[in-house]
Amino acid sequence: MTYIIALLLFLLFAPPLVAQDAYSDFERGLHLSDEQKAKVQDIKRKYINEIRSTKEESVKKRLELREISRNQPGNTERIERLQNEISNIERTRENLFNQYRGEVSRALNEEQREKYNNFCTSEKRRKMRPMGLRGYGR
Amino acid sequence: MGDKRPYIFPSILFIIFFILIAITGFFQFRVIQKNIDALLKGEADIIIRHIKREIDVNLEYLNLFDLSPSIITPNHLNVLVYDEEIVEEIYTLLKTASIDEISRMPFSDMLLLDAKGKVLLKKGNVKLNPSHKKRLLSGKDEVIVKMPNDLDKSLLIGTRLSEKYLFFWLNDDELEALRKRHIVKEILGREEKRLNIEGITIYDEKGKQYASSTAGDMYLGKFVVRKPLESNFLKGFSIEVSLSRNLTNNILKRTTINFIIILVFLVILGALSTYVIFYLERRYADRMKNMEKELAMKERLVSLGRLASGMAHEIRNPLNAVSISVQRLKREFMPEDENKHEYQRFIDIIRDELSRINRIVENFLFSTRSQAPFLNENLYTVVDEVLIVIKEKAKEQGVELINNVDGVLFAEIQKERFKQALYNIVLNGIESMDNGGHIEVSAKVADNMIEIAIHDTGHGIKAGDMEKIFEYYYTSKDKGMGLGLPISYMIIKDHGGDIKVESEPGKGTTFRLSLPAKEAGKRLNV
Repeated sequence: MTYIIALLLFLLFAPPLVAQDAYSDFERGLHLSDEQKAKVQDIKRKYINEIRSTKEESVKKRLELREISRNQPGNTERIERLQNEISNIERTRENLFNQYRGEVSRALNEEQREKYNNFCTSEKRRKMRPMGLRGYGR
Repeated sequence: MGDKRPYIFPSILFIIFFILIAITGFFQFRVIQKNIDALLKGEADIIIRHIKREIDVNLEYLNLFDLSPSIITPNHLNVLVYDEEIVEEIYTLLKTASIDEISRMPFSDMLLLDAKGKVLLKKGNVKLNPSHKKRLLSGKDEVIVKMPNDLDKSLLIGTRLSEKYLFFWLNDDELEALRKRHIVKEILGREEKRLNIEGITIYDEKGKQYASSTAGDMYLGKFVVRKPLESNFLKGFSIEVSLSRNLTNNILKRTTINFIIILVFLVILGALSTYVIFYLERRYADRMKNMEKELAMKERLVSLGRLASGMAHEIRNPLNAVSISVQRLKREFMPEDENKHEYQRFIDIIRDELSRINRIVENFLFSTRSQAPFLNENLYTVVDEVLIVIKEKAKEQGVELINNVDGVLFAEIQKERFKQALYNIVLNGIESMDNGGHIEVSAKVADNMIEIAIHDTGHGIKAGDMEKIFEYYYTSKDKGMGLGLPISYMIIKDHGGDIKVESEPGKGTTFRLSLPAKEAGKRLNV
């Protein structure tokens, strides 16, 4: 009996299974007006291609860095340059997202803004990519 | 302890009891194991539901970019990063694979060129942009990458492999499948670490492994639960969760050890209890047997004593008349002729035998005179008086008499009768010593009893004679009458005491007379 209680206690203190809210629930919960929907869609279109374009550049630099590191490990100057360029791309992407978030927040009312911020925070807390270095949940 | 029959029933009873406990323990153990399995199954169910939800929530982001309005959140950006990781993974795979291995890879569109641009291998419907080919073959770029965009959702990778150039495309569906697998794999790896479980594996609709958090054995010594995943994005897939049995095995192991200890303890306790119960029962039975024997003997002694006493009383009167007549015959009717000496001799024989009869009668009468008062007497003095009387006889036999009784010991006794009892025993000792020796009388108080020990260094009593020595008319001596010890026994019993005899042939005999120490066996002799 003691051991079963111990097992139950163990289960009690085991890491909690915190489930993230589904995105669709979040979006439905915002109750965007048609005007807001159109506005948000425009903002997304404005930024999404810019964000996507960083992807190609980032991949190219990473593969190049991998090749140089393997074939020319002594070429530190080029390795460092590539690392800086990758960091700059990540920073650019981060900045683009922050700008996007600012513009979207302005299109939302107080309550919607709070919901949006809370959802972003919950995503960050959940750390979708805890092991990766490039996780945007950090 | 020769008879083992009394042990059979309790032993069988104990074995049945033991088996019942063992069976109960076994079932209890099974119940614990079942409960633990139920708990583990419950835990696995919770984990499965949680992972299903994680998969659904995260796979939802894959298609959101194309939906309206879709507000971008941090996870949208992560989805973008998955494409970069997928490219890196494929690139690494290609770089380490041979041409033959590459040709067998499940990519639908692939093109392999030599250094001059001649086609070595072609798969699918390849549409190569000439600028990409030129840049790679010229060595201007090490890698060509075209990521999916709104217009063209396919992914292109071009790279140099030694002296050859490889281009391959992933169409939208292939890329989507890779993204899904990548996300699922990442969720499994993350949740395995976070929840500290042994492994999670997802199987596709055909039962083939789709993604796994572990490369190791999922089953060995683990608790495995497999159920349908019921995901909105992975239809027909199933999930397998493997939980460590270390904790449960530990619990079961400790429970088993505890149970075995209890069983061993029970065995020892049972065996010990059985032994003690039957040892006590046997002792009780022996005691009862001895008591019955003693009672029978006492009854026999008493009835014999009464009979003898009555007879002695009846004999004494005519005996007195015979004795007086013999005295008169000797004094007044002595013949003057030659028969005088012979007459004198017969008269003496008659007188001696009359004295002997009188002594026997006196002894019987004395031994049965139990109405005499009990008085508190000093034991040293009583013993001393007896030894003084018998001293001369002892000297003749070369026996030394030793009074070792403590001078402060007192006992409530019928003095003369007690002296008679003591006298008989000491005399018996003296007569058993042909070649001298010593008789020592000592006394001590123990357990509210005064124990007087009379130890002689005579021949000892044979084991077979021990039970008979207190019987009337039993004697091992030529001139003995077999009355001394039975009379002593009766006197001591009348005192509420007992006589025990220890004897070893050739080494001597010890008579232990025990008397109740009424108030205080020990008193200062003032």
